[in-house]
Amino acid sequence: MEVDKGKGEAEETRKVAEADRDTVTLKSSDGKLFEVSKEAAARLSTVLAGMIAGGSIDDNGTDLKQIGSEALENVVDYCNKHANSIPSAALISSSISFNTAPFKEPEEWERKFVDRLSHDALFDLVEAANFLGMERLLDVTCHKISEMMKGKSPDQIREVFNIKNDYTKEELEEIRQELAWAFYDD
Amino acid sequence: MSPPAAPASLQVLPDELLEDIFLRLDAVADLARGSAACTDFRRVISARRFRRRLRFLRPAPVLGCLALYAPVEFRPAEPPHRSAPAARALAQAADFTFSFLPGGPNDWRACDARDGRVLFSRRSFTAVFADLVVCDPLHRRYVQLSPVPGTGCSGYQDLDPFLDPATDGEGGGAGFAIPSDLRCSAVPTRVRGLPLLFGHQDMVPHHV
Repeated sequence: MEVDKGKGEAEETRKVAEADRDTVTLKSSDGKLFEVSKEAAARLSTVLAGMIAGGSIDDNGTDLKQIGSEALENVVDYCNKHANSIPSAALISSSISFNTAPFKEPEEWERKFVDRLSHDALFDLVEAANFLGMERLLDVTCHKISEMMKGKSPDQIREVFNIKNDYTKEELEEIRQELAWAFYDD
Repeated sequence: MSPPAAPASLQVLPDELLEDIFLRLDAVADLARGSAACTDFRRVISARRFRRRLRFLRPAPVLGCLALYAPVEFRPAEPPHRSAPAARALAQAADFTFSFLPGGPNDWRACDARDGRVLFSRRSFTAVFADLVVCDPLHRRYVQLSPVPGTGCSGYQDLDPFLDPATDGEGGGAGFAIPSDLRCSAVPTRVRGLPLLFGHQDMVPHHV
């Protein structure tokens, strides 16, 4: 009797452990599945945290129809790397220092993480981070894009970001005159 | 890595994310050049919402000193100060002789300056209250203030009016607004003639 009871308890614990997996499965718009640490997902993404708390996580893959597989792979990669590199206390203190420095500088590994991305992947990742409410990842990706703009002329900005110049000649001339200080005197 | 032949366009991002990116440009010149890249960027950068977010995160750059003794004199920041190019542009574009004041600048005495606005007063011989105007030297505009009610003070003309700092995070904007309430104080709040720091909100090109 005693033994049976012990077995039953062990069985119970195993079941709980299964239901309470420490990863969540995410499904990209093109149907690919990715596993991410539940703890990291909940800590880094307000949207995923809400889904986990609200029990709307699907064990067979939670549909994220707005996010393509490449972007989702990067999101998951970022979460896993983050889980290994920064304790949550560091994250908390970074948000407290808001007043002195509006944006926290990316860590070295975060720089490397976004540096290797193509423009396409980077822009997709900005959108994914925004969609998932990943403040820190949004910070890191936006920082990277702004770095690519700094010190560049309008022509160079158009070239780097593949932007069509939709100003008329007259408008452009007007802008050149008004903003001459920004173009020639930096 | 995709081949660099067909890079993605930044224009695909929604306005909200473009704002997040532009907010991280800390030089005003970068914002100016960005707004010259395409009309979408200009629209986002010149929008009131973006400018409010920007001012919330960063105070307006200091572009020089405004000496308030008569005649008022603007001394732009000089190289190597990072605001020097924008300060020179402000000095050229704005009217620091204040020739646009009603009746000409000679009747007016500068009382205070803040956030790109300057407060002037003029002795009025017909009324208890001095005439007060707040003006914007960059756009050569002014707003005349109505007398402050409820002071009941006969010596009002001798008080030193000043601009109260805006507290609602509103900052400047595309429209011309007085960024603060006008209050009166019986104690001189500033030593007149002392140069005051003058940061101009409107040097981000919102009307290029």
